[in-house]
Amino acid sequence: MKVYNPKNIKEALTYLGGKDTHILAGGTDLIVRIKDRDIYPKSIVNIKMLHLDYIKINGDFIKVGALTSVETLYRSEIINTYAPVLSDAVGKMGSPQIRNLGTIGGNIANASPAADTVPPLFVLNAGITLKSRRGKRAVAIGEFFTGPGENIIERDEFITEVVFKKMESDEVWFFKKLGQRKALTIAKISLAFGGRLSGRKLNEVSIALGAVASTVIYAKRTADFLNSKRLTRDVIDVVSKIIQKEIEPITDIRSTVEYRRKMAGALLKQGLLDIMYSVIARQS
Amino acid sequence: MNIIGKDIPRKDAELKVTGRAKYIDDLTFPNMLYVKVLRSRFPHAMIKDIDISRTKNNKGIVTILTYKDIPGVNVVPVVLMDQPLLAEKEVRYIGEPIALIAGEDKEATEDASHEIKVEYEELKPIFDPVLAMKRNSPKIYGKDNVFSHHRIRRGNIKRGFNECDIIIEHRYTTSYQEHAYIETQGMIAVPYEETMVIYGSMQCPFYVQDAVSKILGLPYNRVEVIQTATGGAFGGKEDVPSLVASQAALIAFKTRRPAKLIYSREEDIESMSKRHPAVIHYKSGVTRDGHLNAVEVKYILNAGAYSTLSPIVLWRGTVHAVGPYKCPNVKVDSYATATNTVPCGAFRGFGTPQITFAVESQMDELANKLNMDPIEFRLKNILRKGDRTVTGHLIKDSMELEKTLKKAAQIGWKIKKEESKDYIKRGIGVACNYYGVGLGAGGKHLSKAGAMVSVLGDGSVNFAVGTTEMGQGMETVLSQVAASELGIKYEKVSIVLTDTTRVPDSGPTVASRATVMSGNALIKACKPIKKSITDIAAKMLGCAPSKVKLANGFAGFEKKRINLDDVVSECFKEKRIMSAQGWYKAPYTSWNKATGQGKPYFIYSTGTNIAKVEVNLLTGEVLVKKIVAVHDVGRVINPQTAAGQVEGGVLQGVGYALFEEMDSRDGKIQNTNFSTYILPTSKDSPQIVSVFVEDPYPEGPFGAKGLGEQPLIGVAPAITNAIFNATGIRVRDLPATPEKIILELDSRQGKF
Ligand SMILES: Cc1cc2nc3c(=O)[nH]c(=O)nc-3n(C[C@H](O)[C@H](O)[C@H](O)COP(=O)(O)OP(=O)(O)OC[C@H]3O[C@@H](n4cnc5c(N)ncnc54)[C@H](O)[C@@H]3O)c2cc1C
Repeated sequence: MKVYNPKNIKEALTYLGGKDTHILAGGTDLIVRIKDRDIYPKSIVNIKMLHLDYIKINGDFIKVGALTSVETLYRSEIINTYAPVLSDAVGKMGSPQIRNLGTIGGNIANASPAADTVPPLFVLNAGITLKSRRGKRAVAIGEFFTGPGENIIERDEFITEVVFKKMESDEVWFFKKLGQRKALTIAKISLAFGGRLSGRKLNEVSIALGAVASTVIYAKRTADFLNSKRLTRDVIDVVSKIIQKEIEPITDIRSTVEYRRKMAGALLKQGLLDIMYSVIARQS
Repeated sequence: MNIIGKDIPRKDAELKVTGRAKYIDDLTFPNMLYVKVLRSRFPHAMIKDIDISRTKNNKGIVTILTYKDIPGVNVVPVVLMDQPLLAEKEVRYIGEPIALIAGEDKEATEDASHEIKVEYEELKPIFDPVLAMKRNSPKIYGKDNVFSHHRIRRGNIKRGFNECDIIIEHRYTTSYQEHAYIETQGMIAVPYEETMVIYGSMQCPFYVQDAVSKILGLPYNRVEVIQTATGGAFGGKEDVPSLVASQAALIAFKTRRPAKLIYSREEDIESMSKRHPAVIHYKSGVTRDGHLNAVEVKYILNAGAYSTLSPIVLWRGTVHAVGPYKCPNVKVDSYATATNTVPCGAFRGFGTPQITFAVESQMDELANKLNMDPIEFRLKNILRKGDRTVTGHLIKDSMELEKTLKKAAQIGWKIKKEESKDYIKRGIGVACNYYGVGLGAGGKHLSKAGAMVSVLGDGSVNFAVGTTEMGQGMETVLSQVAASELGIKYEKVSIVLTDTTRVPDSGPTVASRATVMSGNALIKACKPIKKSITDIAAKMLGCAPSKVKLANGFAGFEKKRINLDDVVSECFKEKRIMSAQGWYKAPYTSWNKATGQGKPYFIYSTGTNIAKVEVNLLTGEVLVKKIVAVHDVGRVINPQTAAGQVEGGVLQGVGYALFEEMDSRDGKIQNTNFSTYILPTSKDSPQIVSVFVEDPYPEGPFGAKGLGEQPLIGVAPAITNAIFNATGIRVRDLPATPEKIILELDSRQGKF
C-alpha cells in the first residue's frame, strides 16, 4: 500500500484516478473499513495538508472547507449563528476523539444514510464543490447520493468545499436524532427540519431524513403539506402520519422497520409540538 | 484499626492512570511467537478435513497444531469435563477452536487463519434453550441436552396457592450480557527449563494452572501461573482464560519458544463466555393482607455448547429464586441446557440478575394488584435476623435488608410526577436483592484461601494472596487489612503479583469472596509476626506485651511511642519470625440436592435500589435520572472503592436494563464489537446516590462481607418497575428497548 502526502490541491489531483486509490481525511470511516477487510486500497492519498480547514462568510453564503473537523464546526460561532441546524447535528456526533478527527468532507463522501451532517445540509440546500484535473463543479447535496456508500464523485475528483446560504432569524429549525444511547451512537433515524414561520403559519418547509432509506432523503410531500398551514395540534397529528408513508426503512442491527417508520412521525411531531408550544408561550 | 473505613487512595491508581501498569500485551519475550486460533464457522458440523498443506509453508508460519498434538488430555477442566481445548471430530458452536497457528508476526498468523481450508459436514443445530429439552431435538449433550438441574421443595405448593387471594403468573426473558472488559483476553506462555510459565490477564490462576497441566500432561509444580495487571474481568476471566492459556502453552510447549496470544475484540465477543440468556416462568401468590405465600418457578438458562460453569451459575440462581423474602411454600425447578451457541459462564451476579428481574417484577405487580405501596409490601415479606430463607437457612448474623429498604425509601421514594412536556412521563421503582457471599455449598472444596506476609528488615511489607486484583480494589482493601493488623503504615505495605508458586491454591477470585477469604487468611498470617513485633516492642517500651498498641507506624505504651521501623530492626536482630503463612477455611455450608434445603451460603449481603426514570411516550426512550443504591455489606473497609463498585455496578445494570442486547442469529453473534453492542456511556449515567448501612459480620475481616457483585443485581428490575410506574407498561423481556416500549404503547392506543 502506497501513501501519498500531497502539499497542495494540484499535486493531490495527480494521484487520483486509480481504481483502488482512496482519499484519507480523518480516517474514522476509512481505517475501520480497511481493518474489517472490506476494502484493500493500493494507494492512499492523505489530504490533510491541503489547507481545506476553514469556515468563511461570503456575503449571504457560508463556505466550509472539506477538511473542517466536526469539532471545529461544533465550536464555530459562524455555524452556530447562521446554520444552527448543522451546529446541533454535529454536537450529537461521535465522541470527542471522533469529532476531533472526523471531517465534514469525509462524512459526506462516505455516503452513509445515517451520516449526521447530511440531513441538515439537505435542509440548508448545500452545494458540494468537487475538483479534478478536468476542473471544478458544484453539485446540490440532494443530487449527490446514489445509494448506501455511493455517490456521484468520479475517481479523479474529490470534495474541496461545502457551500450554503445563511439561515435568517425568522427561520425555524430542528434536528432530531434517535440513537441507541445518548452519546457515541449512530442514528437509528434522524430528521432535520427547516422553514419560515409567520405567526403560526409555516412556509418554505424543508424536511430531510436519515437512516430511513438507502440515502438521506427529502420528505417532499410532507413538506408540501405543511407549507402555508397553521401549526395546530390537528395539523401536527396529520402530518406525522403523512411522513411515515414517505419513507422506506429497513430492519437492521440498530432498529426495526416498524419503529423507524413510527419514529419519523414521532420526531416530526415532537419538533413541531415544541415549536408550537414556544409560539404559544411567546404570544401569551 | 484507624485506617479501616477510610478513603485511602488506591494502591494501583497511579500506575494505571499514568499507563505504567504492565498489561499482558505490554510484555514481550525474546524469540516470541504470535498465536492465532482457527475457529469453526458453523454452529454444528463434523470436521471432515483440515487442509494445512499450503499454509504451513507460508512465510513466517512456524507451526500449526490440532488436537492430535496435545500431549496431555484434550479437555478444559471446569465442572463436567465436556469441553475439548481443540475440537476433534465435531464442532458445536461458531467460534469453537479447531487449530492453533503460530508465526513470527501477527500479520502472518492472521493471513494464515484466512487461508486454511476446513471441510465440514453440517449437522442440524439447536439454538433454543427450551426446545433443546424436547425429545425430538438434536442432541449435543446426554439424552436431553440438560447439563444440570436443581430444585427447591418447601412446604406444600398446591395448598400454598389455594390459600392465596391473588396469584400472578408470567414469562420473563433476559438477553446475553457481554462483560466488555477493556482489556481483551490475553496470555503469554514461556517455557523455562522444565517449567511452563504463564503470564496473563485472569481472575483464577489456579484454574489456569490446572488446565495447562492437564493439556500438557505436566504436574502442577511444572506450571507456574503469574497474573499480570488485569484490565477488567467481571467473571469473564474466571474460567475461559484456561482456554487462552492452554492455547498459548501448547504452542510454547511444542516449539520451545515463548508464545503470545491476544484475542481481538471480535474473537473475544464471539468465543468467550457471557451472561446466560434466561427464560423464566414465574408464578407467585399472596394473601389479601400482603404475605407472600407460594412461589413456583421454572428457570431455564441457555448454557451454550459446553457446560463450563453453568451448573454452578444455575445453582446460585436457584438458591436466590424467591429473592430476599420469606415464603412457606416453594417449588423451583431449574435447568441449564445445551445449545449450539457460545458457552455462557460467570458474570457479576452469577445467575442472580436474571432471576432477580423476574422476582422483583412479580413483587411489584403483586403490590400493584394489592393496591399496596411497593415498599410497604416488601417490608411485610423481607428476611430479617431470625427468619428462615426458602432453603430453610436460619439467618443469625448481619442481615440489614430492612435498613437498606428504609434508608433508600427515605432518600428516594418520592417523585414529582408531572413534567412540563406532556409526552414525558416520570416514574419511580424499587427492587431488593440479597446475595450469598463466597462459593457456598456449590463450590465447597474450593472454599479456602491462603496468604503469605513478610515484614522486611526496613519495616516495609510484602504480602501475597491467591486471589487477584482485576480492578475491583482488592489490593487496596487487603493492604488496609494488613497495615491495620500489623500497625504498619499503609504506604509501606504492598502486594506482590499473584503467582501460583507463592501461595497455596486459594480457589477462584469470584463470588464476592476476596475480601472475606483472603482478608481472613491475611489476618491469620499477620498473627505470628504481630506477636514478634509486640514482644520486642514491649521489651523496648518496658511494659507487658498485652499493653502494647500498634498503629500507623508506631508502637505505644501509655504516653510513650517508638517507631515501628526500629522495632522491626530489633526483631531481625533477635531473629524473630517475620514472615508467615495464613490459612482460612470458609464456615460450614450444606445443600440437599433433592429438596434444595440447607445452608447454601455462610452469609448474605443485601441491598435496595430505587430508580427514577423519564419515559418519552413519542419515542419510547427511557432516561434513568437517578438510582439510589443502599447496600448492607457488613463493614465498609474503604468507602471510596466501595462506592466505585456501586457506581460501576449501577451503570452495568443500566446497560442490562436498557441497552445491552446481543443478537445471535443461527448461532452467530451479530454484534461482535462495541459499535453495535451498545454499552451505556457517561451521558447515559443516572445520578447515583450510593449509601451503605453497616452491621458487622462477626466472621468477616473487621466485620466485612462481600460487595463486588451486589450493585448490579437489582438495578434492572428497579428501572423496569419505574417504567411501569410511569406508563403502566410492564417490560418482561430485557433489555427494555424503545422498540419494545413503543410496541406496547401502540397496542394500548394511547394519546400519543
Ligand atoms: C466510533 C465512531 C463513531 C462515529 N459516530 C458518528 C456519528 O455519530 N455520526 C456520524 O455521522 N458519523 C459517525 N462516525 C463516522 C465518521 O466518523 C464520520 O462519517 C466522519 O465525518 C468521517 O470523516 P473522516 O474525515 O474521518 O473520513 P475518512 O474516514 O477519512 O473518509 C471517509 C470516506 O470518505 C472519503 N473522503 C474523505 N474525504 C473526502 C473528500 N474530501 N473528498 C472525497 N472523498 C473523501 C474517503 O476516501 C472515505 O471513503 C463514527 C465513526 C466512528 C469510528
